[in-house]
Amino acid sequence: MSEHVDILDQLTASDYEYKYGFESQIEEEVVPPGLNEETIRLISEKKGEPEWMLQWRLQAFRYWQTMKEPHWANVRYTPIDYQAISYYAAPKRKAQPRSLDEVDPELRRTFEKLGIPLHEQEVLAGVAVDAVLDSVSVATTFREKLQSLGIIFCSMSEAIREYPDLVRKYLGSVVPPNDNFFAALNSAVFSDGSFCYLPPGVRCPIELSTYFRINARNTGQFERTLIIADEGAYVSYLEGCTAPMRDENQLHAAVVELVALAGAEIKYSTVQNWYPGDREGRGGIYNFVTKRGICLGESSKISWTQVETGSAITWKYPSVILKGDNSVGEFYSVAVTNHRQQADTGTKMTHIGRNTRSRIVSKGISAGYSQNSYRGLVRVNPGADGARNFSQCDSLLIGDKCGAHTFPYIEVHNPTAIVEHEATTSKIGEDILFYCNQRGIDTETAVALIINGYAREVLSKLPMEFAVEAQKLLAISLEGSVG
Amino acid sequence: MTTPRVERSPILEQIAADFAQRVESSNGHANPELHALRRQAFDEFQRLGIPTVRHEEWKYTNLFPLLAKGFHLPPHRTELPSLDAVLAPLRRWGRVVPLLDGQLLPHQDEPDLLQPLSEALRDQRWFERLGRLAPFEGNAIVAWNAAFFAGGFVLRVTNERTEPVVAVSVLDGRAGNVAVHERHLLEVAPGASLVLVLVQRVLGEGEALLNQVLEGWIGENASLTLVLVQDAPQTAHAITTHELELARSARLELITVSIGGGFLRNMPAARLVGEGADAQLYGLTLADGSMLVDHHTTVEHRVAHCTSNELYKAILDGRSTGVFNGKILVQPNAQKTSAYQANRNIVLSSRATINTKPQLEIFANDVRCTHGCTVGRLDREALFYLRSRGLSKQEAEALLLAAFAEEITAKVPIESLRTDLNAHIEHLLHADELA
Repeated sequence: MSEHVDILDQLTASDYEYKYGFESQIEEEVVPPGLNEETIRLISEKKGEPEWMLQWRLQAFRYWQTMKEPHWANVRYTPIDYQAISYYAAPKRKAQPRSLDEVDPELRRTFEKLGIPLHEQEVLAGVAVDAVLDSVSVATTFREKLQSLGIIFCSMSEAIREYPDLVRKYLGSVVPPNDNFFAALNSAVFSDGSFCYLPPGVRCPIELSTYFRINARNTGQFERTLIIADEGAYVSYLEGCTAPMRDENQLHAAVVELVALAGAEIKYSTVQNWYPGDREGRGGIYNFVTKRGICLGESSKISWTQVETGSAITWKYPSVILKGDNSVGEFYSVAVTNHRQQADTGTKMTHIGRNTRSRIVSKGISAGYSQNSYRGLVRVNPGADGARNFSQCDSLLIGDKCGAHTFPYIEVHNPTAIVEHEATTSKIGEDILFYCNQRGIDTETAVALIINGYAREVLSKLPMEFAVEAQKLLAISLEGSVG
Repeated sequence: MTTPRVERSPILEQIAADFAQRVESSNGHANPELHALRRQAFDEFQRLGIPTVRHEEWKYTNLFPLLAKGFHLPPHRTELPSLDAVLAPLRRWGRVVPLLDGQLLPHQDEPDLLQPLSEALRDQRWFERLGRLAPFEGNAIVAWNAAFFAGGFVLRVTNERTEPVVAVSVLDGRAGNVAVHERHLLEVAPGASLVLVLVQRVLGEGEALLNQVLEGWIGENASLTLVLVQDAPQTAHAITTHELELARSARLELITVSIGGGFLRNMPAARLVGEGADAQLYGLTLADGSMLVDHHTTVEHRVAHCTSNELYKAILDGRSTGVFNGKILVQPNAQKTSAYQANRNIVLSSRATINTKPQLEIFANDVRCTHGCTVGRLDREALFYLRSRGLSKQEAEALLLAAFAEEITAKVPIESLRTDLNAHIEHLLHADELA
């Protein structure tokens, strides 16, 4: 026993090297810090947006001004000065790049360091990447191929210009601008993001992906993603995030909206490994994200899968509103916290339609001095006959200075609903470690093995390319605590 | 705890007027220290206000419709009503200790065992204990109680007591709606054991609200079984705060049976402060009509090597609301903790609601904590089996529900009480069938 503790201590003492801690030396166009109507007009103008979009933003800003920053989450952080943040940063460029060759070489090197060389992915992985580097979509690949199927996959700014009808119809329909403090902020100042529309009956042949990355100092990133799957369509969407090493805390307040019409299916996977701050908890990203999907039509399905290993503070609850009859919502999550990271994450499943089903699998791993909370809501409305939910939240504790917390809310208003929830909290069993040691596996490897097995149920839901990265991330994140 | 929003309301003004009239005017010559404490508590109550649904702990339980009924403090009385009819059926359960509007009445005396609170508080040792487990700071309900409590008992057990004590809180609603604040102190000395039953009765037609705060110390290797029987008619409302501290190897069994009443909010807490302590919490809710039954339990593991177990079950019919919030807190260093919690709910009607929140907060790593929670309806297969054996649908349902409930009542160690409860439950289940 004491030997294991020694090893753990020894490992916890070593510093966790943030693999993606570098800064791109690209000229950037940054708007001076501060938030007022002028800033919003400026952002809107720079992006060449139509008047209705500007009004939409201003309306959101007015909501935001009346709202207070919420503090109910189980996280502690130094207050955010919203006037000290620069709300727009875009790489300067001469003209719209037409192909990858036209993209700034420095920028491409950044992505290469991240391990997502665009052309390589194009050729090998068959992934269309809409890479967002500090808010402006830099290159969009596979556009034409997707276009031939009628799939629209472009940056949000482009969508506002070219598909205003779709954007006006769905933007804010799932997460209204006055939904919460951070959603209102995002609605007012969002700089860019991804937009995706799948026409009826189209099954997207490749996995769509956005690689977000916060680069410039003191810029908040506020992307906005909107995915609409029309009747019978299917799409799998990947989202990955990294940010360079920083001392100040950076705010990230994104909004993701998913709309699934009858028979449609959206699978949304996230691997989030933003800079978590150093061992003492200095720096790191504040990740305050609103993600919500709505199963509007009958027999539609939305599935969220997330692997959260980064950010100093994670505060997000990817949710599903199950409005259509027989619709299905899923949430699979692995959240890892180490050192002084804090995570308060979970999901909301709102059953409105009949025979709606939801499934929640959440695996929390806390190490070091971190705090990891699961917070979830399962709500069955009076009309949701035959609703079914199963939730499982497990927490694993590594070390005796960390905390694991579970706050599941269950509200049932219908007698035919069946809701099950179970949660466990424990540490890695001595007996299991002993068994591995006895077979010649050292403690560090054994712990990595056990953690991988523990998270398998979620990792297996990730698309293959992501699953590999996620496994590596798990190992990196817990480096310096176990293995 | 976050500071709730203070609501300026006629209710709060009524309470302030009551305070000025009852407490301030009494000069406090009887016990100046207590008087000072009441003032502090009242200031705190005013600062906090009545918790609204915006307060996390009161999210699903709205006090305002209840308080809007208008409750008054009990009037000073000159003569005692006869309580025989009320108390007689309870005598089978154990030694009956009646309290009328909070005042301890003469009973078959055992002076060593029981003292009226007002008398005991003159003793500095007891006075110091008041509020130690249930401080009024940050807790509006306890502050309200501390400002107003009219009486209560101090119960100290030093031996292995075989005869259960049945404390009956009789609230006199004959002159209108009445609110009674009871405060009890309880000590089970090391090695001693006690079975205590708390029950509420209402006289007359008025509605009655009982705000009961009990602080209990369970000594080393001592054992307490606390049975909270809530079986009164719809006019009986209760807000209970039971704070229990368990010393080394102490044992607690808390059984709450909420099968009658209007608005019931129970906040039991077991604090395990000595190694090897064990807490078992059981609860049964059987609600119909517009009943609201809210169990907010806390089990806090402060030291290593303790065990706790919780099982709460609810059957909800009519327009009733059930709330369960089970908090398990494992403090740093409380290693080798083993904590279990289960919450099972059956919703019978489309207008009934269950809100449940099993909550784990764990700060130690070498622990085994689990909780499970289910909401559902009766097993169709089981129903089919019974019907295929010739039972009517209603009979089959009542049988299955009775079995569901009996798992909790079976924990009651007093046979006569257990029988009475089961009979009462059966009656309720069948009454439903006729309706």
